[in-house]
Amino acid sequence: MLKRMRSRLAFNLVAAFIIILLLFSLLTSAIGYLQFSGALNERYADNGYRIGRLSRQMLKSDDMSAYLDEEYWATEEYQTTMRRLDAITQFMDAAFIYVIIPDEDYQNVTFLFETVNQNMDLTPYVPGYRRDTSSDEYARKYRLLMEGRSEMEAVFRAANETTTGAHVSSLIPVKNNKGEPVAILCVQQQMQALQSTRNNFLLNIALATLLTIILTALLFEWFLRKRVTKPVREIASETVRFSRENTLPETSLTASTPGQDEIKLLAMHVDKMEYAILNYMNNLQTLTSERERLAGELNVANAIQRSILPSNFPPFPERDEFDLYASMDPAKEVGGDFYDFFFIDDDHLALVMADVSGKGVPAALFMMIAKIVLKNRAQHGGTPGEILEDVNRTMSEGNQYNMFVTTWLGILEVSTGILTTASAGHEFPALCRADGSFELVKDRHGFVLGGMPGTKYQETTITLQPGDSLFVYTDGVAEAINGNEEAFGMDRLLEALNASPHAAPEELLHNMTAAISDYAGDVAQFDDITMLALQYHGQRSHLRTLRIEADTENLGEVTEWVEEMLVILDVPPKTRMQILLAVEEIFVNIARYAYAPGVGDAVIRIGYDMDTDTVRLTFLDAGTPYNPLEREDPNTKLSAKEREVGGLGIYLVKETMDNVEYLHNVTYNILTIEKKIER
Amino acid sequence: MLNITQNKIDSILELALEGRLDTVTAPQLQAAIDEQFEDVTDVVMDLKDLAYISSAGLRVLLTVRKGLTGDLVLRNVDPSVLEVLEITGFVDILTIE
Repeated sequence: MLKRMRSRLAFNLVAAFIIILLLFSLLTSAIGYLQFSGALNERYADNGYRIGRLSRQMLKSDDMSAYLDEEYWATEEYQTTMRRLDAITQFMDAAFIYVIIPDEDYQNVTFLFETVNQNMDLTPYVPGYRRDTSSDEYARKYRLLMEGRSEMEAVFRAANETTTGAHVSSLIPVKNNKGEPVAILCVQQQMQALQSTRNNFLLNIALATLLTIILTALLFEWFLRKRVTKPVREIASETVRFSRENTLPETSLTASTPGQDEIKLLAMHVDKMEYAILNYMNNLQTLTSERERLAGELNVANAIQRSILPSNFPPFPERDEFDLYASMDPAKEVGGDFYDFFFIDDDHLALVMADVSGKGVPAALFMMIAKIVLKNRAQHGGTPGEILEDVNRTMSEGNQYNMFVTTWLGILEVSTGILTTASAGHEFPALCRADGSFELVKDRHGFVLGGMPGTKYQETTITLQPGDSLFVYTDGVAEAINGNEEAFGMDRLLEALNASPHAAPEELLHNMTAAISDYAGDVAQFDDITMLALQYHGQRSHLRTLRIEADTENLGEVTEWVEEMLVILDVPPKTRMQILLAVEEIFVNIARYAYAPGVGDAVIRIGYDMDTDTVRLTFLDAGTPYNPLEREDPNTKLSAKEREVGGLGIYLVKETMDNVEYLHNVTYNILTIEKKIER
Repeated sequence: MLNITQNKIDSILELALEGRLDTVTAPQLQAAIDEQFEDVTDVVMDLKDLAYISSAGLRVLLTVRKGLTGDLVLRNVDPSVLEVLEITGFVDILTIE
């Protein structure tokens, strides 16, 4: 490919050069030909005029008709004149000298006499001979001379226009003593010499042109190869090599390219470019590895940040007075939002929703501090207002970068449903009563945490009734944008909540997330989106909860704990034994398989429904998701040899209990059994 | 809690169980039987004082039954234990007296 391109370039350039040279030589030949012809013609014509003027002196111009008179021909004067004219003809190398009188219409002429050069081997016309005017040019020029409008005219005839060969006729008028033209004297000279010289001239030009073309084409081709095509080819192959090897060449193009022309310039710049590309590649490599390192660290930071937010749901499986769910979606790898929830004591649940000013790593660092300080302080007791006041004091100390965090803190007294809240410049929470829809609670705000030491925070109290739901969030929810940069807004927020206001917290948050992503489409969000929802159930029917390590060694403790409750409920021995059998089977199942090969806790709740006189037991474990009810029942009709050893336990549970249900909820396997007491 | 009294006559192993046969105690019974199992063709268990049996206990009974050329006989079965044996079809593969 490269070779073909190279030869085409040289071929094209040389061909173009030859065409230009040919055109140039044609033009010079044409100009030379015209100038040469013009100059020679002029010289011939001038010579003819001089011969004519000399001859005219000898004529008897007052009476030209005498030349047709036979008597005059005999006179000495006529004879002398003719002899002299003949001599002039011979010596001056004219072909003919003759005198004519044109007719009035110039179509015919009458010869008065004619002399002929010996070389011509022609017989002169006799006096009085008439012939037609040979051409219109002659007729026109005769008229100019006879009418006194011109003193000399010349007519050129090329070889192909006449029988006597190429010639020039110089015409001058013969005038009487009154100065009137009465006849025309013509001197004709042959021009063979002119033509042969001109042909030689053209031939020489052609030869010279051909020689020049061959020589310069060879020279040009050699020059092109040496100075253009070869260096260009070397540059091309160097760029190919460079793109493959990405190294500097052994010999730079600048050193290997001859001359000081544009090709050299190109070579120098290709060298510079290779050097620049290598530099750029090195920088890029450094930058990329640096970026990867940063990205890796940010991933770790993201993981750490996520891990400090409680994310196992349901978070308090032994508590069924409420359901709780929360989520955080940071806009960047790390965010400044956080939520938190924890029990301060057995009956007081703290709920936190907070948003640090700014985003990214600075916000994430401040968020870590805020979260830890807040939880630490809250666990020492006090009301939300007191807690925020103390946290604000701590956060304001040495806060050189003037970062701050808006915080909503609520403490729920689980047994009564009394929720006490305080807000450090945070968004209004949304509350949904059991028989209503979500509405904003316009609670009292204090200044943001970290803003100003000494700020006081007023408190708001809400009494939650069973079935009430609370939704707290950060401004990322309302400020989520769509493709037109329009915010999601509070109206849409409430609308999304109220699409299904009594849904469980997890579903409520999923609905909200779906509504936001429907609205935002593919637009990247510039703020973290964080939400928390709590649904209050009030005092539930369950009486006791046991959290215990799932180990078969604890079976005795479990059965004793259950039996104690069953005795309190006055369950008859037969039913009691059936329930204890079911408890053993389920607990042993969890102990053996849920956390294998590790260990974990099992949570057992026992409840009693007075209306139906039914005992309800709920078992929770955070182990491998597994639904024991899907296991195939053993065939009880087989013989002893054919019977399988396993699968009897769950079968016994299913057969003896009135109702058995399995549910997997995010983290927990939840198995519930119900037994109506047979009294 | 499980107390086991055993008595071997020729190829017949007689056991009296007292207490609960559950996940915790089942291995105890299995070990006691394994100890005496050589040359045994039949096992007779007196369950007069056995108040409770779970699937772990059933598993031991089934394993013993499979290893015998003769019979596994259960005597004086408590009603609540009998119910478990009925539900699981064990009454058909063991001899209840």
